[in-house]
Amino acid sequence: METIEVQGKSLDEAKRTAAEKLGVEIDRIAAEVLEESKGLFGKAVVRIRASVQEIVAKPKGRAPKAEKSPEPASEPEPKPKRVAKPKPEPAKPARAVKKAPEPTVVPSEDGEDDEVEREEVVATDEDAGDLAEIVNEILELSDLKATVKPTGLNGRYVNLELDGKDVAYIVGKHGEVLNAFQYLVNVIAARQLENGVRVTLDGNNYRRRREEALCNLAVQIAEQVRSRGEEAVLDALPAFERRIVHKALSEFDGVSTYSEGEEPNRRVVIAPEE
Amino acid sequence: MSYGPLVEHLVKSVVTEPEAVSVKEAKDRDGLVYQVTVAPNDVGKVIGKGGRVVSAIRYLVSAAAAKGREKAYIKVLTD
Repeated sequence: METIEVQGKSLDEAKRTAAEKLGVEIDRIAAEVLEESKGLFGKAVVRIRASVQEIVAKPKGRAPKAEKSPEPASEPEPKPKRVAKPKPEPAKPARAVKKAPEPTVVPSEDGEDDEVEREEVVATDEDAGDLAEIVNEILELSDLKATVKPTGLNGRYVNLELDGKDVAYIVGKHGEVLNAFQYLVNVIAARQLENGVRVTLDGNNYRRRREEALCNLAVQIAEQVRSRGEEAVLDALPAFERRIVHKALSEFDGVSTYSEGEEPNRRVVIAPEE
Repeated sequence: MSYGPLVEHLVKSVVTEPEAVSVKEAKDRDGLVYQVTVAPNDVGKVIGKGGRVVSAIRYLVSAAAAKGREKAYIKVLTD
């Protein structure tokens, strides 16, 4: 599935742009709001991640029934299978090819370069093993007693869980060490594996507890904002934690959220909705 | 305990010329100081955008040092 990020002055405008770029009707655009900021003098910006919605999900191998029976179908139609996986596209990411130092004959990827970028990266168990190995090496050298266990794959992400007596050191205050560790492993993985797979690190269930705490905090502040009619600015948070806040309040009536400031001091603002 | 091997491993993992990496350990009033030298082209890689990579390395080394009740600092030498 093609996914692009666009921005516009309003959600509608952003969707229109996305529709144009993807060359489809606007009502086929599925948009996920990444960021919304209200500016003065009409400088508001809405950033969305847009993708084309599959209207007809084609189950592979057999023709869709609907085509064969033009009459109004009275029989209970089988539910259209929502094919979760995008059609397997050919070719692996070519980035590895470009950088590979092997003196092989010129790899002839017949003009597939354009499509390659769009390919969704899906992590495998093998990647999980490689990443766990990177983490393990660092743990051993730092003399911190902890073990790594892959806990699952999620798209291009490999989830790794740390366990052991020194995990508290690895999580650190407000997870700052954990975030640094995760960032470093991603930097190293990008260099060594070169396949676009990323990692999320967790220890002592910190991430889950943090998510819960953030959601609670968000709702609590949002209630105050609603009753007082004044904006509230949260502490600076890393991107994925800001997303948790935005998401937690997307369904919350009477307030809207946006982010302001520059990394690493970007903060979520909860504002009353007019 | 020496955190040199850890520092060296981390630095070598993010540069393009691991052979050119050297780490010197020194001790001053505040704790252990690790002076890191890398190939001129790799300085940016070690420091990262806005110092993100080097501060991530610092966090990790500090965490390891905290366990040993020590302090460890990292300096990337540039000329």
